[in-house]
Amino acid sequence: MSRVRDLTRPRRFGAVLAGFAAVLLVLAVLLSIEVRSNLRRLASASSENVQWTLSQMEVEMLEFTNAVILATTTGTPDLERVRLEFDILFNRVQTLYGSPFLHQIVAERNFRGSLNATQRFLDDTVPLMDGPDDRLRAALPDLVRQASDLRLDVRKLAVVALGHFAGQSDARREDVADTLIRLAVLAILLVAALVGLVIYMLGIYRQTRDRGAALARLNQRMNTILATSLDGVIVTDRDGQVLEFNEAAQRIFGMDAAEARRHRIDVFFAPESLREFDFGRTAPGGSEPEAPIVGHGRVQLDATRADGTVFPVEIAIQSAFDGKDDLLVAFLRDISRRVADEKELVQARDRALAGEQAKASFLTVMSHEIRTPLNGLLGNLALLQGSDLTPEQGQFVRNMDISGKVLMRHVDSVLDLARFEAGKAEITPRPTNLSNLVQNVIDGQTGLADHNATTLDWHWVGPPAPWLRLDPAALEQVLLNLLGNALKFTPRGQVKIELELSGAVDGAGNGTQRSDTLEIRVIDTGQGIPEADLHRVFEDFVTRDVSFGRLTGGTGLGLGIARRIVEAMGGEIGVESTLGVGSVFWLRLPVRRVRPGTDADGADSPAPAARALDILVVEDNEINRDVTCQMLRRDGHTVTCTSNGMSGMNHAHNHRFDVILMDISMPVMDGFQAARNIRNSDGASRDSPIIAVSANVLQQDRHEIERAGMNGFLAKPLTGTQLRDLIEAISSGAPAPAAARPDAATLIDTQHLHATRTGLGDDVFDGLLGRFCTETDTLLSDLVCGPPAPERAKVLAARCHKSAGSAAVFGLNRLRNALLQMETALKTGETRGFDTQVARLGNVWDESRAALHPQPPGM
Amino acid sequence: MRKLRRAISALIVGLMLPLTTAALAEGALVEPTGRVVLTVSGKISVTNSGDTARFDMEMLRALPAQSFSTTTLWTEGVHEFTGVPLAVLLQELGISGSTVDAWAINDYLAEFDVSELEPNVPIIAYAMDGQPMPRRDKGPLWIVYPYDSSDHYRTEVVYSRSVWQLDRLDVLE
Repeated sequence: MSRVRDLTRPRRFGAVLAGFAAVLLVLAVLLSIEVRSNLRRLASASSENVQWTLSQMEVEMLEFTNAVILATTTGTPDLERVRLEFDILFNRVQTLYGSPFLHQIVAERNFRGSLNATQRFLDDTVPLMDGPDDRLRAALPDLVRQASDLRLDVRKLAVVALGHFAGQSDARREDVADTLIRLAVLAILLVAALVGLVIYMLGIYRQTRDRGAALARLNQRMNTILATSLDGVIVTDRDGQVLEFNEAAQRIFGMDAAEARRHRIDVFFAPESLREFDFGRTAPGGSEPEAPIVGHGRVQLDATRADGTVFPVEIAIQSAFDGKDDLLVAFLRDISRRVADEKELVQARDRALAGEQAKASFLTVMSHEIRTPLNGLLGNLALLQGSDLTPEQGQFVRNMDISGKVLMRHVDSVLDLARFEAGKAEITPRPTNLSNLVQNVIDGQTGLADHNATTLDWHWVGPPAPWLRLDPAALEQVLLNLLGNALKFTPRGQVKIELELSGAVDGAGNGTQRSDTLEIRVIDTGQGIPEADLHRVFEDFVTRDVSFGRLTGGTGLGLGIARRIVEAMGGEIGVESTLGVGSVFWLRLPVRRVRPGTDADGADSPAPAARALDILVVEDNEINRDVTCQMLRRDGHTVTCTSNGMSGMNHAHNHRFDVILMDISMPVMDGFQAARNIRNSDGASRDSPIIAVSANVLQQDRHEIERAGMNGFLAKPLTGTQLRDLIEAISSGAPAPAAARPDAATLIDTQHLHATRTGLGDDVFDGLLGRFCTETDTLLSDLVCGPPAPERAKVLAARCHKSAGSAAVFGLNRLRNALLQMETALKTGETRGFDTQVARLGNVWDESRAALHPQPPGM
Repeated sequence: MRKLRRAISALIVGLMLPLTTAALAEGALVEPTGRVVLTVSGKISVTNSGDTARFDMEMLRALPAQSFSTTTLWTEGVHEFTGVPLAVLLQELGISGSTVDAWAINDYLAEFDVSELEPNVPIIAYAMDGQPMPRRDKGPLWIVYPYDSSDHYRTEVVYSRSVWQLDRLDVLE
């Protein structure tokens, strides 16, 4: 700011000075002209000396008088001489009249009078002079007198003129002096102005020199910066011609600056990189938009060294304007090392991820492998308890049972963890009575609480709101983990659970849907957690007290699993603790209030009448198979046992079973394949419910189970309760308890069919049914022609899809399934086994029609 | 028309000049028949009265004439002056001096450096506007410069050399 002022002030000053000097110069020129004209006036002496004329007049007057006097005093007067002197005098007076200066003096009164007198004398005398000699001679004495009289007048003329011209001459001298003085002053001012200008110029010069020096320093600094920069810097003109090429760039490209300046920037980059980089190719119009790379931050490109090696660079190009031309400035760095490092890191990450994957798979497999024999152990223990034992043996068996169950829980924990790690845990919220749930959890833990002499209770804070929509199983597990933990660390203390529901109107909704937050606090008066450990308690495999943890058999996974479950439910979990006072574990879950009475778990279903069934058990593990078979037989069922999928399939073909329990992982033929074969066969049991049995209960397996045509699954280890529930479900005709989807293998869902008929009314229903039958008949007749051309296949696939939808309306599950399979086959263009598939579809259709028949219109 | 006639007569006079010069050179300067208006004395080789050359009006009129129009300080308006250039006259007389004193009847004196004389300026005018000049008005002979034609003729020296009522020339060393 001050710099700018410094610059502008002298400049303005200089302008003023220059203007001043110009004015002075003009004045000096004008004055010079005046002086010149004055001088010329002096030089040309246009004022012929009037004084000379007048003094001459006086002399000549005297000469004339003398001549006259002389003539009067001699006997023979020289009249010629008198006449000559008269003419001289007369001429002089005439000359005076001719002078242009006369009028100046004539204004003087004295002068005019004397001049008139003189002229009168001359005029009077002329006739005398021009007359005859004797007349002149006679007049001589009179002439003497007249001349004497006139002398004073002539004298006066000279004296008056002298005074007049002296004054005038003084005035002119003063005038000249004034002019000269003015000129001198002007000259001094001019010189002063010029001196000022010189000083100003010196100042300007000094300023320019300083600025030049500053610029040079700045330039030097810039060069130093460029030279010492670790990044390569390349400056080019608009055409990409290299202008600057700093040391780092020289090092990176292995080319010196002089050589580089002979090239365009293109030569430094691999040809395929140049596409992004064609900023140099200005269109003839010159208005080509800037290259996409310019001004877009760092970009990675392949560059070429002088020796031809290609290496990756990171480059940022900016356009700039140096006051005259557009420039492009490229900053680049060799990132070969970084790229290599990145590659290594990515590889390391991939390896780590693969390792994680392997670990997760290992955990799943191990749990499966552990659970299966454990299942056998526990089952056998249950059988043992049912046999005759001494009290001591009974105690041993109970102890073994407890240990086994603890072990089973640990394995379950690991499996849960693996499930969460694999992202395969599913939260399925449903209406739940929270009070019941918490009460059940508390009840389950009273034994442990009594053992530790710890009081255990729960209560609502605020108004109770027992009916909420949430995943009860997940919440139960979290509560069990937290409660188990609290009890473990609070011997002879107090543990309580507080429930609090804080409502909030859902902002996104229209206000009718309420979104509430459920906060559950598990408060203990235990030993507390050191602050340093607080943040770690929700990590995996963390046990606060190693020795105690071992004593109580903690895996250190409980809180980690709790955290995962809560997060999967969309909530959060945390802990506050004071050492020696106690801890509060809290969790907040988003929930929704629901109408009471919809709890699936809440009401006890009435016990159905037991019915003996014909059951096929396909299981490769001998012990498990024996346990399962024994349990079922004890309940009065007829059980056929077999050890692999192939023999199971054979049994199913030959005999009609009420239900088939199918293990999944088996040698020779696995459960999926066996189930598919049974479904696709003409065997006796092809419509029988098939229940998958597996320790592996991941979601993808559920889909696989469904796809294989199985009706549900049971998780290992099988318990008596589970089996009884299953049998009850099948006996009562309800879908298998664990089946998530409509039974794809059921020929016809009569309940659904009834519901549809009731909903539509008989007339509409019959019309639709008739249309559906025609549609499907036509479709089949089109399909039996063999694999269609791709275009036709598309049309047929769409018709299959449509028919499948219609089939679902009529509860024709198996037909729907078959149509969907057909659609898939058409879409994928799979021709192998096409005819078989069409034939099977035909069969299913025939059966479905037959099944529909017992419900003719009007029935 | 008059101008043209005068120019022609001047041309004729110019053509006859060598003859007259030759006649003068023989020392046969004619005797003045009219009243003598100019007497040249001093270093001259052509004379007609002792060692002086005396001219009457006719003799001067016979010499090559020169005319010009100009204003003067002493007259009003523009006038045409006709006369013999001083240089011509001196040449006619075969002068050997370098200075000429010009005298007026009132004994006024002006000095001329012969080497500074121009061929046609000044002239010894014997007519103004074609009329002889009376003695009472600068006549009969007046040394005149063409004052209007140049600054050089408007200096004090030139004015002082404009001798009127001229009647003698004295050629000095």
